[in-house]
Amino acid sequence: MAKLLEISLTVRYGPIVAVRELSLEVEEGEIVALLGPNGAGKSSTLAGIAGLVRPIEGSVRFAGEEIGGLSPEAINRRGIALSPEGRRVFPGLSVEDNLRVGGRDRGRLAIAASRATVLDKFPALARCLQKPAGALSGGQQQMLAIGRAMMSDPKLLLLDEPSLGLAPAIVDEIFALIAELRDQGVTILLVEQNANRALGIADRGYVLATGSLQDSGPARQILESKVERSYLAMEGA
Amino acid sequence: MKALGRAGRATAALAVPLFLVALWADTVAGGTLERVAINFFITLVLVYGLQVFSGNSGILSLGHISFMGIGAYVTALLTIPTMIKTLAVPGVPHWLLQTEWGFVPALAAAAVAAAIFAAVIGLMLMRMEENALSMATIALLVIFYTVVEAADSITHGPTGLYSIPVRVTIWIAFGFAIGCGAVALLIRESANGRKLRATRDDPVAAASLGVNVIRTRLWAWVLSAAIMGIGGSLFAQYNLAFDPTSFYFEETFLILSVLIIGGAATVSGATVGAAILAAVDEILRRMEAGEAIGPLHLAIGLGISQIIVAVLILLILWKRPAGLLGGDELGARLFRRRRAPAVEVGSTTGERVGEPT
Amino acid sequence: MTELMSAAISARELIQQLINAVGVGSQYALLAIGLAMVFSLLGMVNFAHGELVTVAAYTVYLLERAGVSFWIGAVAALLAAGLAAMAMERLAFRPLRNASFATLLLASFAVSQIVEGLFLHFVSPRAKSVSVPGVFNHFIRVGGYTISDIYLFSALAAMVALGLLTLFLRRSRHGVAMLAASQDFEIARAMGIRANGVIAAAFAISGVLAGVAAILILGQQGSVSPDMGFDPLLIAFISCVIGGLGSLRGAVFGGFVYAFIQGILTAFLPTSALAYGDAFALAIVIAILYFAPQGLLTRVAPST
Repeated sequence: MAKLLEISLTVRYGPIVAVRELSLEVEEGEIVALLGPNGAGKSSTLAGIAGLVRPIEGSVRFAGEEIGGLSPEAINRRGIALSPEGRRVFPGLSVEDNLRVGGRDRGRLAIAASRATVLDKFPALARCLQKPAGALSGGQQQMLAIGRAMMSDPKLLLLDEPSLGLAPAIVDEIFALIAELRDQGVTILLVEQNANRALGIADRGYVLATGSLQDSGPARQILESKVERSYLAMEGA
Repeated sequence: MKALGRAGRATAALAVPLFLVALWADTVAGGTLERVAINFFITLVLVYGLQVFSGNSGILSLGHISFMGIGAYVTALLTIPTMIKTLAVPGVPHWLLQTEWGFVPALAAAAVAAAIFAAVIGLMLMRMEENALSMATIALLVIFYTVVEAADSITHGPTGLYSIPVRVTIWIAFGFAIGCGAVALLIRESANGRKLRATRDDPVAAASLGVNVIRTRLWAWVLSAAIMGIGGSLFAQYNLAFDPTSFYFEETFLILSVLIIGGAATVSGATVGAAILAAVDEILRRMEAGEAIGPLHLAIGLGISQIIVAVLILLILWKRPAGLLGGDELGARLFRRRRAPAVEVGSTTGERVGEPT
Repeated sequence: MTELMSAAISARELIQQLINAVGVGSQYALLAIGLAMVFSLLGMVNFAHGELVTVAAYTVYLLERAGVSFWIGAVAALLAAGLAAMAMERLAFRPLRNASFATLLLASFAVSQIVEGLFLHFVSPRAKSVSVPGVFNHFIRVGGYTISDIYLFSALAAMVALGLLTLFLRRSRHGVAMLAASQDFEIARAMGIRANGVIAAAFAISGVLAGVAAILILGQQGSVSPDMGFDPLLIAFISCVIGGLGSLRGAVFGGFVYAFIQGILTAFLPTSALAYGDAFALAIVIAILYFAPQGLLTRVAPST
């Protein structure tokens, strides 16, 4: 399968190195999980890829093109969409408007098509289209965040901690949806603290700790490795 | 004691060029240039006052000129001849009408009055969040101006006060300039000064180390007000007359410009800024009046000087926000830039959003 | 409007002031919203906002001197103010896109000095009178109360302007994008919204709104002067703080509250005490700032 994303990334915040020379690849059509404990640099990695933290050191190659250093808008327009940690839906806008914004300036037909797909995937959203996003439940907001990202018909979806703060039943639902997205051809880079779940749907995984890569490999392999299990505090997770 | 030594050395370094300026003004320079020099020294006092607070705390204050105004008004009310006072400010208490103070007592009263006023208002202001505080200082300045303009029975309203005995000479101005400079340096190097700078650079860390942010800020705020009061007193006792607009946004912009252009973090930066602006101002003034400057003979009209100063400020803010002398690591902090859109898409490292150090 | 009044409370006077306050509040709201728009997007208090009023007013004055009618001049003034706003953003503020609150405040202070200096230099340091259509001086009497045409215009203008703005923000794609950006700037960018475009548009709108306010102010004042921008700035600032800095609805609300407070004070206070009116309003501002929630002024993403 073609390599959609290839990074070799260092992210600094002033003197603090959040991500240290992380090499990571995502091939088309797969779900790659980026795991690790709190503070490992997972979200910083996504922020670096999405252009929200600049400048970065190293390279981010997407579909063969170097996108490191581009603005977030430019990166989004090249086909990378983000569902941020904490959802970060636009609280004062309705669900409908949130989706609209995700659709950017794509043509009317394209947006309508994407909207139909998203609402089909997330019927819960279809039921509260006019509700202000700030009034939604955590689970609904998470669906909205993902749906909003999908509105731009991205080639690569970056998901940052979708399970954060959600009840297990909702998490189940969301992860099932994520797996469905992959089955329909969306490539996904998934950051998660809930390693169990993430590896349950992922094809491959990378394990990060204090900014550096600890291990990588097929999801099953990481799932079964004892070392990893302790790292990720997966006992009973 | 190391602090004393450092402050002492810096003061000496400052004293030499300032002394030379005073000497030159007293001997060689003509009347206008002596005026320029005295105004320069008075400006120095004012900038040092502002530097003590803003330079150390990293907080922009747009209201400091109100302290200068208090100093000036207190001084004027204490020193203007009784006859004039009775006509101009009949609402003033009787003892004040009758009294006429000397230079030093009036100046001391000015400093104390400004300090008290600052202390009272500071109890509230210093508790505010940094940016709220900056905005509150804008409000402070307007309140001061509005009240002074309105309370005409004790301030003579928009007309202002006049016939203030002129007592400031070049050497007096120099003396206070270097004196306040020394105080500013001492404050900077003192334990409290360092603590204050610590709160500027990293409030969370500083607080966790036991630095009482509010108290340290208040300390600097009051001291800086006292210095501003002295500056106001000197201003009054040199310029003979003033009105409320002398202590409003025009003056605020001027003193701020001096501080920023030179660099707020250091006293020497403030000094350099004042020198540059004095020179620019004098050159422009001559150009506006159509006078020759050496071989140059350009007549520009009014308003150009404020445009040029404003453009200078913008240039500094764009290119070198720490000011010309900002070299000091701490100097970069007053008007710091945040790093690139410093959004954490989730603070997994637990950092404060928007403020990577 | 000043009238002779006794110290005794006059209900009639109060009602008259409240009627006026609707018009005055409309002007304040127009001024405040522009300031709030820029703050909600960039987290900056644009000290040069008042200068947009100056630009608009001088446009009318200069065109009038060239023989252009007031109303055409007014339209040109709106354009000029919008362009001036975009220019100040592009030239002065863009290089400071990620700078601190204090830096931006200072930079905008500098810009205001530049604009003022330009009018001082190229026109005159003195106030110049503008001949204003007679309609601005008319008033109608209803039940013993006077309703100045100017206040009617103000209320009308505000309704139209705010109505159009609401339509834009809520219904048009660009408007919704702008709203999104004001609620979460970074994520809006991550959704592909062009930062520069949204910001330029916001400044343009703030300029046009300031321009509308300027026409109304000009209608009342009948003159222009280089420093005329400061009072509008103060009004906008006070209104925004009262209503909650960064909120567009708050700006409108704050503008009317401020106007009503002024009206009430005018009705009850003796004229001598009125001079302290501004000081009183600003004391309220300080109190509000004192109680302001932490981070209100450092976050760039309050909700509308």
